[in-house]
Parts: sequence; structure tokens; C-alpha cells
Amino acid sequence: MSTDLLEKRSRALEETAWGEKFHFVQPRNIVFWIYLWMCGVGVVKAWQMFSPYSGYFGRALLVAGIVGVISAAVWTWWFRHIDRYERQPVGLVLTGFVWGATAATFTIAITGNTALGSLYTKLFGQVWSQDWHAGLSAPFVEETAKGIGIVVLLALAPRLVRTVTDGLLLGAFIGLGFQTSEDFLYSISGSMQGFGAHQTDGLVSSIATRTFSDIVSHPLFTALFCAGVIYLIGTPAQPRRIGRGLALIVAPILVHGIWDSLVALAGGNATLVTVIMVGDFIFALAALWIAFVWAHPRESHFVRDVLGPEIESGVLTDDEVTAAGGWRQQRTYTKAAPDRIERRQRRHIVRAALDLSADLAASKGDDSPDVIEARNEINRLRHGTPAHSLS
Amino acid sequence: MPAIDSAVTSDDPTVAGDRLAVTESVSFTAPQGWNIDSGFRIDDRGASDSLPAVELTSGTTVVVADADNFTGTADELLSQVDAVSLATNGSSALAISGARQPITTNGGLTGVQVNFDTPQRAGSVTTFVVDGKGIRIRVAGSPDQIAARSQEIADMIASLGTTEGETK
Repeated sequence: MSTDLLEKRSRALEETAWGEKFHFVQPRNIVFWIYLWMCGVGVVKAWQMFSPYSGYFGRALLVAGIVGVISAAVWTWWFRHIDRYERQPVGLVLTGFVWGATAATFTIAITGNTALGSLYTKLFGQVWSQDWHAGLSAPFVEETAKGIGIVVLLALAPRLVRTVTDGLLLGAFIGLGFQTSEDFLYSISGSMQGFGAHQTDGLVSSIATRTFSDIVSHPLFTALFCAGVIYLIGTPAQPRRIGRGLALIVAPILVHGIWDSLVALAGGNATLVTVIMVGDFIFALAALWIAFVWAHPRESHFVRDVLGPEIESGVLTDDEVTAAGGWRQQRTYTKAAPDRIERRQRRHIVRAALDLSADLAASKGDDSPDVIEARNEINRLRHGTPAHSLS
Repeated sequence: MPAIDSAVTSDDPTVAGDRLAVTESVSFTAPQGWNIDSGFRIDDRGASDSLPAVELTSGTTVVVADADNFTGTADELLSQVDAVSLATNGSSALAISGARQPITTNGGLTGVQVNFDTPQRAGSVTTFVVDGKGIRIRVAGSPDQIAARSQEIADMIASLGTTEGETK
């Protein structure tokens, strides 16, 4: 293999730190202790908040808990599915999720929202506060509380949080943690409707509403916000882009603010509420799509650098490596196949190419047993038999 | 943020004749000079149909009036709210109060009331059910302040009635 290509691979792996492991316990890192303190305070506050309801509202808590776990599992599966290039280490994902579920929610957001809401009432009156306090407190308090999470992860794993895609995916998990706690809070609040006389009615209504609103909610907001933070700070793998950073930080605050002020913005008109809601929904999804479009070229470039030597050695073709660089390229490549069987084969080879990229990242470019196995798998998919000569 | 909030005092005193909305169609007259910590006057209009709970304070005395859907009687509502209160924060007005007393407001609404008076705390819980809405009025404060304001509080609860022209 040419030295130039191997150097490019080595540089890409160094810049992205793909394949490196995350070590949570870092006694010499002050941020580790701050993280433990903030999350610990959140757990205590959550316990103080929920434990009084464990008796009378025990059944509602149980149902809300089960729904919360199922919801979190479904979203987790989806986020892992779109984590295309080099999956975020599980420990790092879990650290982000726990931050969102405990520190961001119970230590920062509830306290901040309550205080800001009260302040608005004192300064601007009851009516103004009822109409606007949610839309003018939650977006600032909550997005900041969750956004601090990516800074914490950066401090705990500076080599692992480097690309905008890292910001998008880790942000999604921080937001998912926050959303899980918030949904649980809303479920309990729902079960208390009607003076707690009909817990199930309120609970079911609350769960149905939240399941719908979760589509455009905290994971999306925080994914955008954290991607913005990565652009704003800049890393060895992502040069600073202040304009993009600010745009991605402002967008979720705006979407969140509009979402929480729908009735006030529409002046109570139900039709207008629907129109604004749909507009906000579309804007949010468009912002996420743009963020991925912005993030994609660098990741694609890194994948090409990692897999480049495999083209020269004949393991992969140039088209396959291009297809591995993104969903759209993969779709174009597979669709161009003459028949269904080859379309399937192409899809599997591209997936195997990404597995090879992950194995190369884990071995830092060396021919580890996993790398050899991944090459053999590609050859098996292409010809139907393993090619031991590739080892 | 909590520190800034604590530093700013709430200042929305009631004036003579102020009526506060408990539901879209039921309100009561607040005594003059109390502070409205939460709640809409009947002329206030928000963008949504929902009304916040009314919370009035005067010294250490707090009056909270809230409403929600309820299909039973005022007596059942009193039992329900007391059961939830006992289960969630360990306090039961029924356990420390005298017998339940029927109450009829000046506007003809009928409800149930219990009064409690302990060395640390005194007050009452009054419930009504009007057109499928349960209404709960909780009064609490130090025994001396409750005694000093007992007439104001009784007048306030007695003034509960249908709002002319409704609030919404």
C-alpha cells in the first residue's frame, strides 16, 4: 500500500480518535467530580420530588416508568441506527444520557424555570406570565442546562468528542435523558388531574400527548445545540465555524420557544395554533437535516481516508468507499444496481465496509484479527467465499 | 436565578371589589389589601382557556383556591383531597379538624367545610362542586393571624358565586 494513503488513514484516525475507548472514572479531572456532584444532586432532588407520590400514585408511577423505558429504548435504537460512521462509545452515550436525565433536569432546569417563571409574574403580571413564561424560560434554561452536557463530555473525553456528528449524536442522547425525565414528570402531573380521582385517565392523556410531541423535542433540540457548540468551540477534527455554531445554537432555542408559546402566538385561535405548530415542526426537521448535511462532508472525508488503502489493495472499489461516505451516496449506489440481488449485495458490502472502517479504527490501522475478518467478510459478500489471501 | 427571584418581591395588592376567577364561571371577592401571588381577576384574559390557581397572601395567612374536573359531591371531593394530601405529604385536615360543616355561599352554592386549629397552625378546607368542576379553597396561617382575619376569610368564601357575564 502506498505510504501516502497509509499516512492519510493514520492522520484521519488521529484527528477523529475513532475507535478509542472512554474511561469514565477520572479522579484527577475536576469535571468528573463536578459531574458526579451535579448528577447526584439531581438524583436526590428527583427522589424528594417523586417519593411522596409512590404510595397513592404508585400505579401511575409504575406505568409512567415502563412507558418511559420503552420510549427511551426505541429512541436509543434509532439514534444508534443513524450513528453511521463510528458508533459513539456506550459509556460516553450513557454519561450524556444521565446528565440529561438528572443534572440538566432536576439540578438546573426545574430550579431555573421555576425562578424565572416567578420573576416574570412579579415583573410583568399574571396574564403575561401565563401566556409567555413557558416560551421565554424553558428554551433558555433547558437548552443551556442540556448544552452544558456536551461541554462536560468534551472535558471528560476531549479526544472522543471532536466532530459535528459527535455533537449531534451525543446531544441527542443528552436530550433523550432530559426528555425521559420530563415525560415522567408530565405523566405524574397528568395522573393528578381531577384531584387524583381518576389517575389513569389523566395519565393516558398525558402519555399520548407527550409521545406525539417527543418527535420534535429535546433530543432534536439538544442535537442541534450541541452540534452548534462543537462548531463554535472548534476541535482538531472540526475547524471553528462561528456562523454555523451560532445558527445551530439559536435554531433549537427558537423552535422550543415557538413550541411553548403556540397558544399565545396564535392568540388562542385553534387553526392558527395548528398552522404555527406545523411550521415549527417543518423548520425543526429542516434545521436537523441542514445540520447533518453540514456535518456529513467531513465525516465522509474521514471515512474515505480510513478506507482509501483498501481501494488500492482491491478489498473495496472506489464506488463502494464513496457509498460508505453517506446515506445518499449509498442509496444512489445501491439503486444503480441492475437487479434486486445485486442491490442487496451492494447494500451489504457498504455496511461491511463501514464495519471494516470501525475495526481499522479500533486497531489504529493495523491488520488485527477483526480487520482481517472484516476484509474476508467483504470478499465473501462479493464472491460468496472467504479469501484468506487477503489476510 | 433563584437568588434574583427571591430578591424581587411580589406586589399585586387587591383593591375593593376585586373578584378573582376560580373557574370560567365561578369567582369570589378578595378582601382589600391582600396580595395576589397567583390568579386572574375576572377581567383578565389570557390566550388560553386555562386559569391558574388563585393564591392570596396576607402576612402569614395563605388562601389557595383551585379547581379541576370532578364528578362527585362536595363531600366526596373533601375526602378525596384529604386522602391525597395524607398520602403525599402526610397532612390530613380531617384528622385534626372538627366535624364537616355544610356551607352555603351568598350566591347559593353549597359545599362542605372543615376547620382546624392547632397551636402551630390554623385554617380550613372548603370544597364545592359546580357544573362538573370541583373547587377547593384552602386557608392556612398562624392561629393568631387566622383569628384576626377570620371575618375577612369567611366573607371571601361566602362571596364565591357565579361570575356575571362569565370570565371567558
